[in-house]
Amino acid sequence: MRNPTSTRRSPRIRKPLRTRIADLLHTAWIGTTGRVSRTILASLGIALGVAAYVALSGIAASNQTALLARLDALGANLQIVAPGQDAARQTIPLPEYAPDTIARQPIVEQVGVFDTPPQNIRIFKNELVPASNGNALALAIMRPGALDALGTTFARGHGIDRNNEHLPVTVLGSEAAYRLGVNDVGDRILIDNEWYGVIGILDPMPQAETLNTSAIIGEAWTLDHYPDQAADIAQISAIYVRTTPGDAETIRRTLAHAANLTDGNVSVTASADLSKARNATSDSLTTLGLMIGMIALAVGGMSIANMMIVTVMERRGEIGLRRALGATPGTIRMQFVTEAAMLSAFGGLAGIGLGAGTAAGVALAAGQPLALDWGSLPLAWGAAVTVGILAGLYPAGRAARLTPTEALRSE
Amino acid sequence: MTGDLLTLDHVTKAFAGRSGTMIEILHPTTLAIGHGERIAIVGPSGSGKSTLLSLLGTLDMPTTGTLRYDGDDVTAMGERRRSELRAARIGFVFQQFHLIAGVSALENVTIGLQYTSLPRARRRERSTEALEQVGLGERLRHRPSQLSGGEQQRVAIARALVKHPDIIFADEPTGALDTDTGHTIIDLLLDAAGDGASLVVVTHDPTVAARFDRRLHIRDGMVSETTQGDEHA
Repeated sequence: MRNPTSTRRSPRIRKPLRTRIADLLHTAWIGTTGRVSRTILASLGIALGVAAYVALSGIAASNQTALLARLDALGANLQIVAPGQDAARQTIPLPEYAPDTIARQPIVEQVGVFDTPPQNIRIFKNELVPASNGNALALAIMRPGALDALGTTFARGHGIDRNNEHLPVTVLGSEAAYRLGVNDVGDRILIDNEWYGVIGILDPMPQAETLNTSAIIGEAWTLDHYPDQAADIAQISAIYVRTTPGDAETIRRTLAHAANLTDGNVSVTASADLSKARNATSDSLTTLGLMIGMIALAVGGMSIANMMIVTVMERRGEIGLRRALGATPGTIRMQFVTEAAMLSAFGGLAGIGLGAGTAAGVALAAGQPLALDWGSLPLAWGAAVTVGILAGLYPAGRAARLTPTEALRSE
Repeated sequence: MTGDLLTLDHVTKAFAGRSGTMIEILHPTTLAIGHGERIAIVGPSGSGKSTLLSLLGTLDMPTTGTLRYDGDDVTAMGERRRSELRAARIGFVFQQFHLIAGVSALENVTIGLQYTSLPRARRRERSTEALEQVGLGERLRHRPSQLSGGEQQRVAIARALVKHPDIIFADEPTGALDTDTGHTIIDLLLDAAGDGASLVVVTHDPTVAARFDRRLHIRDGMVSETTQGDEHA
C-alpha cells in the first residue's frame, strides 16, 4: 500500500465542552416536540399523578380549614387558666397582672376574664319559687370582652357592654335560660333577691360547659353593688385564653408561667380531646393526599419509562448519527434523561393546573374556602421531574450502551 | 505537514458467529491514507466495505492490529477521546442521510457542530456557510420532508463539511439517489475534498469508483488496491 506525502496541515483537536445545558435542553426539546401526540400521552400519566396529589391535598386542605374552624369554635384552641392549689390544698389566687401577661404571649389571640362571685348567691325565676329549689345555677362575673374570647354566639339579645355595665342586667347561659323558663330577652329574674333584666341568652357552649348553667353579670355592677366584698370579687376565678394551634404542653407551660411569674401553682386545662382531634385531622388528610399522589406519580413514571424505551428503539439511527458526530455515551445518556425530565416537567405543570382547578371547583361547590398549600406546588413539580429522571435512567442507559455501528445499522 | 493521516497496521475485524466461533470479516489489512487523498472502496455486498469504513472512521475498533490517526494510536484511546476525535476532525455522510425529521436543514447541519467547543452563534454562522457551499443557501428553513432526496444528501454533506474535517467518510452516498443526482453528489464531495480534506467513499457503482485516483477493492475481507496509473498501464 502506498503512503502519499501530504501538504495539508491538520487542525488541532479542539476539546469539546463537557455538555452544555442549553444544548441538552435544545436537543431534548427537539426530541419531545418531534412527536407531539406521544409526548402528550406520556406526560398525561405524570400530569394525572400531580393533579391527583394537588387536587386531593387541596380538597383535604379546604376540608381541613373548614373543619378546623369548627373545631376551634368548639374550643380546640381554648385554654382555661384558673388558680391552682399548693401542697396544703390551699388555693393560690391568680395575680392581677395575669390577664395582661398572658395577653402579651405571641401564641395568645384573645383573653376573657371572669371574677369570683359573692358567696351564697341564689338565682330564681321569681319570688314564688321555693328557696329550696336552687336550679343548680351559678353566678358568673365577667370583665368586659370576656364572652368574645370564648367565641360565644347569642340565641337572643346581646351582651354586657359599656352602655349597661353599671345596670342590673344579666346574660343567661342556654341551660340556665331553659331551667329558669326564660325564652326571650326582656324577662326579669331574681339574683340574690334583686331583680335583673335579661338582655341576652347564649347559644350552647361546649367549650365552656359551666357557663351554660350560669347567669352572667358584669364586673362593674357587681363591684358597685357588693362594695363590702369588692376585694374577694376582684379575685380572678378563670381566664379563658384562645391561642394559636400548637403543641399542647408548650402552650400549657407558657400560659402557666405567664399567669403567675413567681408561683407555679396554676391550673391550665384544655379541651384535650378536641386538640388531639385537631392534630389527627390535620395529619391524616395530608397523608392521604400524599399517598395517593405518590402512587399516581409512580404509575406516571412507568408510563414515561415505557415510552422512552420505545423512543430509544425508534431513534437508534439518530443515536448512531450523534455518536458518529462525536457524542459520548454519557452525552447520549444525558440527552434521554433530559428528555424524560422534560416530559415529566410538562406533565407536572399540567397536573398542577388541573389539580388546582379541581380543588378550587370542589371547594366552590362545597362552600369551603380554597386552601391550596402553595408552598407544596413547587415540591410536587420537583417530585414529578425526579420521577421522570428516574424513569428515564434505564432507557437512557440502553441508548448509551449502543455502539455507533449497531445503532447506524438499524436503519 | 508530512506523514499519513490514517494508517491501518495488520488490522483485522472478527465477530462471534452463532456457534460462538469467531468469524473474521476483515483479514489482516495494512494501508495508509494521506492528507487530501481521495479513495473509493469498492466491492460486492457483504464483502466488508462498511466494516472497513467503520474502522477507518473510528466508529468501531479492530479485533487485532493498530489504527493510527495523525500518528496517535486510536486503538489505545478511550471512548471519550475517540468521540472527541470524531467531533472535531472527522465527517460522515451516510446512504440514508440520517437527518432529524422535525428540524430545519440549518438545525440539521448545526447538529454537526453540537459536540465541539464552538459557541452557538458561530455554529449557526458556519452551518449557513456550509449550506450555501452545497447550494442550499435558500433552503435553510426547510425541513427534510420538504427537500428532495438529492437535497437531503446535500444537507448531510453540509453537516459533514461544517466542521472543516481532516477526512470525510461517505458510505454509499449515492445509493438512495438516481444516477444523475448521484454524480452531482460525488462532484460536491470531490469539490469539498478539494479544500484539502481527505475523502473516502464506499460505493458499488463502478462509474463512481472510476472518478477516484485510488481504489481499494475488497472481496471476502481481503483488500487489494488499484490506481488510475495501474489501469492506464
